[in-house]
Amino acid sequence: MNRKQKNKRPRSRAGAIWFRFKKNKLALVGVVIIFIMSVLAIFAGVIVDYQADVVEQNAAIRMQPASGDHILGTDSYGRDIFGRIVYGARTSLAVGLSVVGLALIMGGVVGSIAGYFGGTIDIIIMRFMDILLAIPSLILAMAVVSALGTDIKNLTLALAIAHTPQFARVVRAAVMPLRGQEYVESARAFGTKNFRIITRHILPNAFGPIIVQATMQIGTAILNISSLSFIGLGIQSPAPEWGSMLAEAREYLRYEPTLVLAPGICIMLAVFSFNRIGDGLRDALDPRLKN
Amino acid sequence: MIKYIIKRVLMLIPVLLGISLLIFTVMNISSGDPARALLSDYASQEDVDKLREEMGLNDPFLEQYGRYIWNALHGDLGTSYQSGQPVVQLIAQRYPTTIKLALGSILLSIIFGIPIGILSAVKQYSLIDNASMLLSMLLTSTPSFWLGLMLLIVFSLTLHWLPATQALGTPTIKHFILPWITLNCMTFALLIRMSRSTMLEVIRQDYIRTAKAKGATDRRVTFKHALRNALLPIVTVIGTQLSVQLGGSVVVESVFALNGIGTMAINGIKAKDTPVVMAAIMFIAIVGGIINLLVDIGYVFIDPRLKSQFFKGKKKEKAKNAEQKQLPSST
Repeated sequence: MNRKQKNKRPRSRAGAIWFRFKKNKLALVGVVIIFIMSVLAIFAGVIVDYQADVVEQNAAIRMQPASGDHILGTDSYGRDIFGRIVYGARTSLAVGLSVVGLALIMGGVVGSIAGYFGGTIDIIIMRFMDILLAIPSLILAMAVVSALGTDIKNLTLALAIAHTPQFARVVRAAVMPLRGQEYVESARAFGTKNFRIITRHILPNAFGPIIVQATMQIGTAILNISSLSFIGLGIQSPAPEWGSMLAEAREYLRYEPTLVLAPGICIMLAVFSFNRIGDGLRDALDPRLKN
Repeated sequence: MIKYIIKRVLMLIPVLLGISLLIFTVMNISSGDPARALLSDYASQEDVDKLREEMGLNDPFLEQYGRYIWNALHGDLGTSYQSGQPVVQLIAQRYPTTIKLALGSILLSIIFGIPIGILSAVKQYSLIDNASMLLSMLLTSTPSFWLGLMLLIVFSLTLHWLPATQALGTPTIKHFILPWITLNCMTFALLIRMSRSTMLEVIRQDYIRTAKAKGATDRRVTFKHALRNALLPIVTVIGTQLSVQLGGSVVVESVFALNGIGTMAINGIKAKDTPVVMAAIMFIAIVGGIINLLVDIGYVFIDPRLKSQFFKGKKKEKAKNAEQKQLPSST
């Protein structure tokens, strides 16, 4: 610790990345917000009673203002808003992470094949990705959800498909220049299989842009989940989700406009945080990109 | 130049065919029988089967798709399963709303976004700069439907300045103001960031210092020398955002109950109305493709250096440029 402060520059790669990352104050704010949200999401079962507070309707306490019992008040069905927000965080974070994870795997496979082999394979794959990109991701997800049915697994799959082309592009762009590098040539000369060259030699070196893209895409995925739920093609009530909470609140816009506040602010904070973390990571992983 | 445009238009065809095949397939695997939906739950199985035969739903998949494309090329996009209206008619009724929505909001973000971005760059690290950067970050994280609801609460329900939703008849300018602001927020934010960063890059160039040294006023340097050179990436963002906005209009139309292509797509998807969904998505894709083409042509007028490429036919350079242009759209 002492030596670090004297030299001001840590030696290890991870240390260097952290050193640059923590200079970005907004990115740190993002980390804190996501940390709090994750803790709430993980311990949601301990904090609120799912049956009593989140799902069960209670007409006697409809649309009550904030009080000791209900920190954020109750919604139009008499359910605790705070409880639904906390469980909504669980849904949004879980679906957001799985969408990006799945899209990362699919896009990663497709993109690295296209980038590594090039030629006709590359053209065919990337033309197909262009087709997917030409359809707005929300509409593509809507069509897939309607085909498969609206449950949480299909929703995840639909959004993952819609997010795949972006990853395919980033991975391809990262893999392509590495293909001709000497260390790849030498691995090939040793008779290493293509699969091993891609997974062991190329992808670890393309890690930076991919992780940045993934972080940013979590934010977009969370936005898309809530948009789909808001339209009515995503997570269905009574399951708590920020977007569907907004759709319900919208029915009472004239009578109780404050219902709109909490879910919207949560979506905004989550997306904001992931975007800032992505920004911070980009600056930390590749200082040249910083303007 | 004309050769290039023709080539670009031809390149659009396989993409559009691909999109149509993809959507047709997706709509086809969706559960639910359109014939059954058309006839109501009480119809006998016989009637349903008969209608299926009439609608050609029992034909092989590729035959159905081929027929759809053939008819579409002859201006017949089928009839809506829900309303029985020709889809062409539905599109004709609804597209002006969506186009007005997208164009108005992009205009709004150009008028406000670029000047704010330039101001931020010229006064880097000032209060204005920090405030506008924070605004831009917040706006890119705001879900458009939430912003729409908040605007409705403030301007329609509390202040009563603007109408909440369009009840009947054609929407007027007043109905569009809130949707424009809502849809524009993402592009507005991106344009602030983009104009700021490209202006910052350009301002550091030697020719700017030269211009200043020769005694040109700050204003002249900013607008005559710097802005013209910073415009190219800005135009790219505007182009990609216009097609993104066509997709985003789906949500915004739904918030403000505007009868555009977006609400048509949502209703079609919910009702498994394949002809309507196909037409809506193809409309968005085609308009998006045309916009991208126009943006590429627009480059030549902004940056005369690019013109030489078209006349000398340096295809490689052109391809390289095209790739670079596409990069920002991936974010």
